[in-house]
Amino acid sequence: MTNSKRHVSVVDDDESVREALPDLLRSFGLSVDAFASAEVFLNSKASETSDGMILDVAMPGMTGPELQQELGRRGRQISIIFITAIKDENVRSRLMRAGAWDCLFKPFSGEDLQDALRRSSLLD
Amino acid sequence: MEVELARVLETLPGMIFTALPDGRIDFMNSVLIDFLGLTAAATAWQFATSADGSEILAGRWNSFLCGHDPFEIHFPIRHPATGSRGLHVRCNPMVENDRVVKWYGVATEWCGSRLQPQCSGTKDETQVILESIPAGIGVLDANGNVDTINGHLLQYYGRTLEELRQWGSSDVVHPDDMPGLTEAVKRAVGTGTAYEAEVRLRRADGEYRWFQIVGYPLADENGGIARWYALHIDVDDRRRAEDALRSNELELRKIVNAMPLTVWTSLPDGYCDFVNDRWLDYAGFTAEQAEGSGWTSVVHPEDASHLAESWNACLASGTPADFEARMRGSNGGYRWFLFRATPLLDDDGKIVKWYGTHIDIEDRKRAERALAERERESRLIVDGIAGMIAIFSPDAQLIDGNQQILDYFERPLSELNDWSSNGITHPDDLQTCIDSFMGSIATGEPYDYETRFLRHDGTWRWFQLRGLPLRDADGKIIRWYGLLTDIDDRKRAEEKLRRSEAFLADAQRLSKTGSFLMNLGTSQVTWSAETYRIFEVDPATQVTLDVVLSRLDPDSQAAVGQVIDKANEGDGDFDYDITLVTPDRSVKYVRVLAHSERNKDGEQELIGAVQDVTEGRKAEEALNQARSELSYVTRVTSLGVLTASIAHEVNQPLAGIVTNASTCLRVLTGDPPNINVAKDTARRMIRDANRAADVIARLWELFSRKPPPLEAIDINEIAGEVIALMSSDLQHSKTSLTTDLANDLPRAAGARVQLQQVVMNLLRNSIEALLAVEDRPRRIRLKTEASGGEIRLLIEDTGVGFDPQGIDRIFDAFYTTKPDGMGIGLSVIRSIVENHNGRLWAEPNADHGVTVGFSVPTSSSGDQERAGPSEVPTTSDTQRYL
Repeated sequence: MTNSKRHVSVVDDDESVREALPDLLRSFGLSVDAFASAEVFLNSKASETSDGMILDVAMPGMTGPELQQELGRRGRQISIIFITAIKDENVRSRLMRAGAWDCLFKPFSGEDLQDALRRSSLLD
Repeated sequence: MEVELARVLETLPGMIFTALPDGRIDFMNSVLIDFLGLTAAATAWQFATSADGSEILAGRWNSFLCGHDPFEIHFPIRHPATGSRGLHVRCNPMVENDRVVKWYGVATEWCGSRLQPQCSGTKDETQVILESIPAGIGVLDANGNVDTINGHLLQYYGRTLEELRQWGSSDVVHPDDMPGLTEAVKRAVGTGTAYEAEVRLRRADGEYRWFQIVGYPLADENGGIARWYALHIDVDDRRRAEDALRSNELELRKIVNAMPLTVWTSLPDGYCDFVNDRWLDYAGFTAEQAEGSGWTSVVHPEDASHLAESWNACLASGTPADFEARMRGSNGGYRWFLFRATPLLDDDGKIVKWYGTHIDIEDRKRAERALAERERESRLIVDGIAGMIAIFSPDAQLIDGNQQILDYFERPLSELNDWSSNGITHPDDLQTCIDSFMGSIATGEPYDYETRFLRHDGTWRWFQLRGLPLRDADGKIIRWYGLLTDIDDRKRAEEKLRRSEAFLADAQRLSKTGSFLMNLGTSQVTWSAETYRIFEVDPATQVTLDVVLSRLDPDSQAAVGQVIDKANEGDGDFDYDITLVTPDRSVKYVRVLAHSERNKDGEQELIGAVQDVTEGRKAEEALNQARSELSYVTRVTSLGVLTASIAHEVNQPLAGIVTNASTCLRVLTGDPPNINVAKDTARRMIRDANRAADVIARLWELFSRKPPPLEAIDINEIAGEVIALMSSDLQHSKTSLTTDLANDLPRAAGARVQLQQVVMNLLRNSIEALLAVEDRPRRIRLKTEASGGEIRLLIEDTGVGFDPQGIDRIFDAFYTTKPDGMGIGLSVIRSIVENHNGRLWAEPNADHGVTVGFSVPTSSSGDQERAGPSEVPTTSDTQRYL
């Protein structure tokens, strides 16, 4: 365990996910902020301080992969776990090649998410 | 008589004449004429005596001339100045072939009337007389011994009388002549007849000169011989002249005989007096046989009268002779000769002689005959030939033509000769005719051209005109033979063929179909123009199999190779596709239909047609592409997009539920359990589950509430488009489709693509239902009709059908009769049709298969403009079928 809690940001336009996922992540011992769009996230302090992100692929406005590129452009090294409601292995492998730690298809179980967080070293 | 001879005689110092055997004198020299006191030569003696005496003298003269022997005669001659003079005449015959042809005479003056009485005179008197005679006289006694010799003679000899009495043993007579003279004297003494001899006597200076010695006996009173008078006439000059003449004549004869042509002479009356050896050799005659008119016996009987007439006419007129006749040679064969003769005129313009030649013209005549024969034969050919013949002179005049040409024109030859101006030659061809024909006449080159001639019935017909010149042995053109061949039928056939070929070429070009013929033995290929175009080969190229193969892609090369192998084996039909690669690397698809068979020469040939189907193939490919795109679109729109949309909308609340459930479990199993968080997560789960159900309901609503724009549609057009799209499937499944489309079908209100999908799905359904059918024809019948404000489309198949209890369910989603089907197609159809406010139904046929149909309302003009969501009713009851 580390001294300070790791901080994870959830970015998803779906309200159900924004409500449900932070509680689960907190239960893993992480500190969490949730944002309804990529633009809101980028304008927040979390974009500077987050250690990881749970990022939806398809969103109105800036999409998840676009946000990933933007962060790369800004030199931010954040571990990203994508989540998507469309099960498309092609999209998943493309995102993994682009540097994501994982891509989970909705609905995913708490264990799936915990495994992904461990692989990305956001959880011990 | 030769001129030379005449001149010789003229120059002799004595009175000379010649006479013919009939008594006529034909020559007198000027000395004699002068002596007779005449101005011109006379042909008969004018005796100076009574009429009776003249007759007697003339009788004697003629009787002598009838004989063969030399003779002497005295007669008084009438003289214009002196009344009469005595003439002593001695004549010698010129004998040829035992026949006297001429008498040569020497005359001396004779004073017989005075001499005779003095015969019995004194010796002195006699001596005086002897001395007065200007010639040598010797007087012999009855025995022939010399008695007296006059002064002239003594002077000549330069010897004494005594010496001369011994002449028989001296050299006064030339030794060669001595025997003759002594013999003559001896015989004369013996017989008492006159003697004559020509001997050489030695002159005082030793030179021998020729003398004619004539001895006459003088009778005494008793009738015996009293004395002999021997007259010595110096004839040496004459002899020399005669010798010279003889020599000249021999020389001339030699020359004449040596000449390589026949030479003859004739007297003014036509009497032939000379022919040279050449003629004699030819005729096998002697000179004597030819003389006079003897030569005429070798003239051909057919030519004899003509020759005689012509020759007599020339003799009478004095014009040079020039005529032809045949003469028989020694071998019995006749040859043609040209008789030419020119008269020799004397100073007075009188004809003295004809000089003539015979020129052998047999070769020329033979050539002429051969030519005539050739012409005669040509004429036979001309009349027998099955074509029109015109014969022209070298100057282009029509001189003859055969019956066929007269029959064609029905005009006389004289009119046909004006072919360039009388309208029998077609005006359009006239210039060609004139140029070609006159050009050949000018150059001698054969002519060959075509023209139209006016037949007697007023129709024009095409002729080919060919002309050749006929030449004589010297190469000179003597005739033109023209052959006129009627080629009208051929021309027409050619024209017809040309038109037919043009027509065929057009058809080939329009249909993009070319033809070819390949000789399998020689690999020679014949192409039509369109085939050249399809293969993009220069039409001038000689096509071989290699040329063909060079245009093909590898697969096609192999295919063609197999076809040729099979064609070589025997007759057969071939139908195959090949791919051409043109020089610019573009690709052409070509269909080939061919047939192999043996031609009339026994060679195996491959004949066929090639059709450029590139456009058709490209259209087909485009169609296939469109069809697969459409089916992809259909699949994506009807399933893919729907599925993705459902997944997304449903997965979002499901993800919330699962996450909340996970959180709930975690907080409840925590120590202590966080009951507040668990409550929140449970509440959120209920909310998300309801939300998922809402998504489903909203999705369907979304789907059904989004109608495509409506338009006025021709259902027949839709049917046609779909059939075109499906034709490949129909062919592939060996299904025949017939249509029964209603005329004047009203327009339907609908969405084009959706209705296309309906028809296409129904049609595909029928095709699939037919796949299992093997025992009957696979048939589909598509029918359209309109009634009661709606338009119906029915598809009837002979497929496997379905169970009677299933008929109500076939349009339900996920209900299918097919093992690999999802059953969703017909349900989509149903929703589309019902969205169009139409109906969909299915019913089994009486024998096999089913008839499926749908109806849509007809379109009204207002409906088209106001097409919108409200126009397509939401059919909530269809939700249950999804």
